[in-house]
Amino acid sequence: MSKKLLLALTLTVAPISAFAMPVVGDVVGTNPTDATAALAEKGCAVHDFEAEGGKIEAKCKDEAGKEWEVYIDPKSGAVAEIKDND
Amino acid sequence: MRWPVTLPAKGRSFPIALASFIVLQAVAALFFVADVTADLWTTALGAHSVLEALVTSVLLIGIVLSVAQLRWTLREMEMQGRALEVASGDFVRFIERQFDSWSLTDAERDVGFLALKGCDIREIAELRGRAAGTIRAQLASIYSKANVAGHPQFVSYFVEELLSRASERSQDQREDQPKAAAS
Amino acid sequence: MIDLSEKQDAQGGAKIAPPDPWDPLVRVTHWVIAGAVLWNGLISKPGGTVHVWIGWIALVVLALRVLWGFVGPREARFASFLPDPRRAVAHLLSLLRGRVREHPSHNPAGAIMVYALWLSLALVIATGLQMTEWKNPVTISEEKAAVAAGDWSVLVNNATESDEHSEDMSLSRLIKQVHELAANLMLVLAVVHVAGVVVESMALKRNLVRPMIRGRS
Repeated sequence: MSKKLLLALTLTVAPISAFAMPVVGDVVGTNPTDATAALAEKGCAVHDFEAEGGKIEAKCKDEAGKEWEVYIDPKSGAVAEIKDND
Repeated sequence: MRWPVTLPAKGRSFPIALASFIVLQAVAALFFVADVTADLWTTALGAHSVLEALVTSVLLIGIVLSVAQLRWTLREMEMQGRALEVASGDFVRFIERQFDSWSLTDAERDVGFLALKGCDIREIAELRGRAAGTIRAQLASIYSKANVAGHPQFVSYFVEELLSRASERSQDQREDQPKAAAS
Repeated sequence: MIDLSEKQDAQGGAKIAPPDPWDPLVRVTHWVIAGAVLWNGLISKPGGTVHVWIGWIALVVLALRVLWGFVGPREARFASFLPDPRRAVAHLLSLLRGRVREHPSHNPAGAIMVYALWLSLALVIATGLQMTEWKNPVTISEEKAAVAAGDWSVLVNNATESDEHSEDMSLSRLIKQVHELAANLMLVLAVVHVAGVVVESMALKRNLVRPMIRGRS
């Protein structure tokens, strides 16, 4: 796959962030400790977890202090969706 | 449907309480139904699931019976109210028809109705904004057209009718009960 | 001339009008649904335990009203106010002229509004159920408590057959959008409904809210 196509794909699946952020598909873990560490490493500091729609909703802040909602599949530990919290 | 005005406050609050209770029963039933459905979906048919299903069915039957009871209560109240309404509405229509058949003028109809309601000449004169003499003359004309001797006979003409209708109606109601229940 | 016809209509009974008050089940279901729509649409946190509880209660109450629409008293039955867009428009036009006739149940425009509200509500409830994977509020609050305590496995245990669909985010996004759209539509319809009741009350010179609460005492 060409680099341009890969870049385009990445931009379409992840919301625009000026700073590093996890992307859909990243495996972050199936328990709070692992997930917090993995998400922090990818650039989003978790302050709360919640159950929603059968998934784990991780509320975290990126380096700019912007709020994000990262949805994690509890079975696979993968990020299923990232939402802007506005 | 109208709440019959003669019904005591307790008679009106029971249907409301029953309706509210039906809502509560239905909410409770929903959880049991959801639980039983989920169980039957995921696990094999065990004694526990069967028991839950039976209990839930009983709850659902209870709701059906409550709804039927509410329906029955409302129908009873409606029939009572309608009996009252029809009695008074019918009577007014009868009076109108009689006044028609006697060819009363518009003014005489009003005066005649007020006289039946029990107003005396002075009161009618005040209400109509006319002189007492005018009212007296109008009443005389009414009695003549109705072929009655005077006020007492005029009133009793209609009271007799009301009494005979009352006895007819209680007869009809007894006959109507099974019909109403079947509708 | 004293108008004796006030007491009569074509059948020689009382004046045509909806019941005063409406039967108790119509009244109770009306206000429970109204309260549920307002609370969930404006106050409760979407996806939260309270939100789901209220959604389930709305489901039950709507089902009850539908049942009553088949077995209830005459004016409460759907047969008494079937949807008729042509007559609804005619009714609105005559409202503009300031004169409307009475109906034994909901007037034709009111009937359309009622069906629009119920259909939107059904859509909101259906999408809401899908978004919560058809779990009841007790299960949902248990899951929330477990996750808050750090246990994620409860979600895995309760997962239904949705595993194959877990990658299909576009469908669940669509469902969520429909849920929000229908809910907002209901709020808009509610405002129109209130306005309609006010206008109709003025045209009929009668307080139409009272029969929906306690009626004449």
